[in-house]
Amino acid sequence: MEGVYIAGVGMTAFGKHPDRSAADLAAEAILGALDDAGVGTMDIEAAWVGHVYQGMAMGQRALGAAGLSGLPITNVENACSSGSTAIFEAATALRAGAYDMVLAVGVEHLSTKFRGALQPDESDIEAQIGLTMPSVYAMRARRHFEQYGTTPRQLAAIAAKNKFNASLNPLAQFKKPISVDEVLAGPLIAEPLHRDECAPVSDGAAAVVLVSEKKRRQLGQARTVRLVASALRSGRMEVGLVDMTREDLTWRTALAAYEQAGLGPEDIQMAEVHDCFSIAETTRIEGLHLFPFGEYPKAVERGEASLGGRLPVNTSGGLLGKGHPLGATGVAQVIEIVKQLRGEAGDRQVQGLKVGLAHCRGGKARGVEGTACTVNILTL
Amino acid sequence: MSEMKSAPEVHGPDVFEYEGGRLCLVGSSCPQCGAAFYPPQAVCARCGHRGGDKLLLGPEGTVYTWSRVHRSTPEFKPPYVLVYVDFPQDVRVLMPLSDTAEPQIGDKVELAMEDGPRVEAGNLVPLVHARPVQK
Ligand SMILES: [Zn+2]
Repeated sequence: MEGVYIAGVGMTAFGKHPDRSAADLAAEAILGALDDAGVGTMDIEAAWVGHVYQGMAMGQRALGAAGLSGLPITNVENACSSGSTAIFEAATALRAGAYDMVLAVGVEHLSTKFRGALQPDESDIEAQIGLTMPSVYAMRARRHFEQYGTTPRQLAAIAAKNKFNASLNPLAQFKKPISVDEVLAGPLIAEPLHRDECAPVSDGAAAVVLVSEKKRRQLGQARTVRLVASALRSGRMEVGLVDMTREDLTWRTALAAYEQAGLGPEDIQMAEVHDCFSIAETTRIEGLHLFPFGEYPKAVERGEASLGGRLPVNTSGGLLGKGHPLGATGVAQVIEIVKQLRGEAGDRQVQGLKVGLAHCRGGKARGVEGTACTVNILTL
Repeated sequence: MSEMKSAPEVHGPDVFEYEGGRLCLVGSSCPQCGAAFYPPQAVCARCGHRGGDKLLLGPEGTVYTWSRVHRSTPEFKPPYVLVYVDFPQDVRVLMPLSDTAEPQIGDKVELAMEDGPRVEAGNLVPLVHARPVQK
């Protein structure tokens, strides 16, 4: 992908923000991103704003709170990939030459909208008989156990890894590391998944300023990070009895991104993936072909996905540790890669990093394995 | 099938049918490519052909995977067990299991109309369940 760069990033702390509105959170992230890029509100030519449950014209409310109005604003709903779809749309517009400097924003105030387990849309036939998002992934976990000998302990190690990483991230929802035994001692949400293997309910916002090659040269900014690939795909209707442990959607999206970037799985040095559940991190990483099918949980137990391991995964803490304000999640993943590439990740810095990948996907509808998936690849 | 709906009510009467005294689900198959679906599809998801033939699923299938659900939304009464059942007609369907006993992957099940786990106006709603076949 020619000439798209991230010039600035900003995000709020993720967690419970009972006394703040979604627009207020978004404004903090947007102003942070503008300051980080060293640009003003008048420099932004267009904006895409991802959210899931925030109601009509969230984008206009968010940008208005940050002093931006009158510009082209597009609201984006694509389940958990809403924020990363905003980035995809912004990058596509830059690539087409329509603009030189745009904003992609993600925001969610979920704690005021939801309690308990998330479900597919209530009109969904599977939701009507009791399917919850934890149970979708619980049933995939059961198949992973059956087919590859994966154990509850190995999945719990994924949760413990991400909550440890979160303890090193000042913006994360979870501040305290947790042991594998503590994960396994927690209450079951949908067997075999325990509470700490499920992403929490979170509020938060994240924003990035994207610029063209021309604008990057004008800004003369040394800290820009290149977005070498941005791909979006949707889930195919499944026909026949497919293998639930293999994410066709993740692989098709990754393949498009790898082709845009001229890179392959072997070139990826760190990944932020959509770990809404412990098993989800497994099926994402295997679906991206970063580890062979069935191997990832064992590799996590050996420390290969930890900071300092051969492929650090979810250094930000991931959804399990950093939190999961749906619309903001995909943008925050890209921000983690940007911070890591710039060498600004503090105690969780990955050394010698040149290439990072952010994978986001989510949603469930009957007949499809997942609704929307994005893969963004960033390089120095 | 005439007037085929692509999204029937989950517990409506057009979802199931008795064949030889045994409960079956009503699905569809594509007359052009043979792909099978539940619920019936008005447009084939594989080849785009419009319209489908009625296809009965059942009366038996096998458990592909399962979970006992402990936390759910207010419309449901946990704990309950959900199973994905693979039918010989090449279709996988989600349904509740008829009791909370632990199933095993590969268990044979048949279909049964039973109450729960959905609650409406304080009552459990009858739904098509998977019931373990007596060994
Ligand atoms: Zn067909």
